[in-house]
Amino acid sequence: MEKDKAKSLEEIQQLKHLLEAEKQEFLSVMSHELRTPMTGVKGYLSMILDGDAGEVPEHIKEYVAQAYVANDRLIRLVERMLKIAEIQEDKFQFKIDKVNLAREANQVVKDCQVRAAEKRISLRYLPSREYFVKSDPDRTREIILTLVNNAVKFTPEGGKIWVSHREANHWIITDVKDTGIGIRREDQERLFELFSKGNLTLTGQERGTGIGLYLARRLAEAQSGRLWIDRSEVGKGSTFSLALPKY
Amino acid sequence: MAQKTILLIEDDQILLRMYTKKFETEGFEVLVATDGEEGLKMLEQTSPKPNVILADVMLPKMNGFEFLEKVKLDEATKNIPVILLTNLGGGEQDKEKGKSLGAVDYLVKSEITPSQIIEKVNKLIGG
Repeated sequence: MEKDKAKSLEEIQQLKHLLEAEKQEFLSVMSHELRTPMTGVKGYLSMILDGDAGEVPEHIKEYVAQAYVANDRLIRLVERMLKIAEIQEDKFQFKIDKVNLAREANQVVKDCQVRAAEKRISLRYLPSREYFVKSDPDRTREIILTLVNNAVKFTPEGGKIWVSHREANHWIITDVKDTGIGIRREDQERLFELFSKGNLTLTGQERGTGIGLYLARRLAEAQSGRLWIDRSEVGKGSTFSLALPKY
Repeated sequence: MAQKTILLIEDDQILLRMYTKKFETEGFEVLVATDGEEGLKMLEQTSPKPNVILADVMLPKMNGFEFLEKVKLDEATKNIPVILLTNLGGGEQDKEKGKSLGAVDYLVKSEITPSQIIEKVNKLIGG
């Protein structure tokens, strides 16, 4: 009897492993199957815009450009879903190195200037010295990009955003501070949950997909870092902080 | 300059047609294959050899990595630059693997447009 039980437990374990492996396989194949046609759409639309199929009237070009942007959003969404699956399965590959944090953060700020300018937001990178951390450079940039993008998204026209670093024990902390809409205390932790919608009074576009902060925190934690809301007040603004191990 | 030739190995028909069209528009002669084995056979039979090879990683029969290994082992083909294309995760390990096997570049198809690929290829072969 006991022996039978042991055997069935073993069988359950085996079955569990098998299911896990199949889930991985499914995600990987699905992402490939989804991305291939999306790549076709992206490629052909870009070729139309390049004029490969002949001259395109301006008003049609605009429609095609919109379709191109929409398709790119779809591609990014699938890529993020895949990344989440990989992180949840501990399959995501990190390349930990000595990273010049100041350079990465400064680059993100530069990349976001156009979008900030569209809303007349003053987006500034404050540090004037270098900071080095132990992390994956691409993933670090991705986390900071999520924070700055969110700040731009949730800061009203004419607002301000500052990006800075500070040292605390073995950590270098990156602060992204804004004069945005702020987050109610009861909503703060929920923001980091997958598919959370934060402030439900916002419209769809502003609310986003509920993936960004979840993914950013998982990426931070997977490379021994932390990500949290340092302070936030409704109507006044928020500070998001990312701590990474000092190099 | 003589016409540039590219060997394109891609098993998805839509993408194969798309890349072929783009390279032809840009003045390339395009040789196509839909799996690694066919690609290798085509490479053996072609003379002069193509200037550059663009190969998908996920291919039937012989995948892109195996194909690359064989190309690099053959004296007649080892100097042809090979660019690997993938739509898989594009994880760091795969990228490293491709580079260590001798690929000059490793591109994620969904992140790049055909004209960006042309740009990279032209830079590579001095076109």
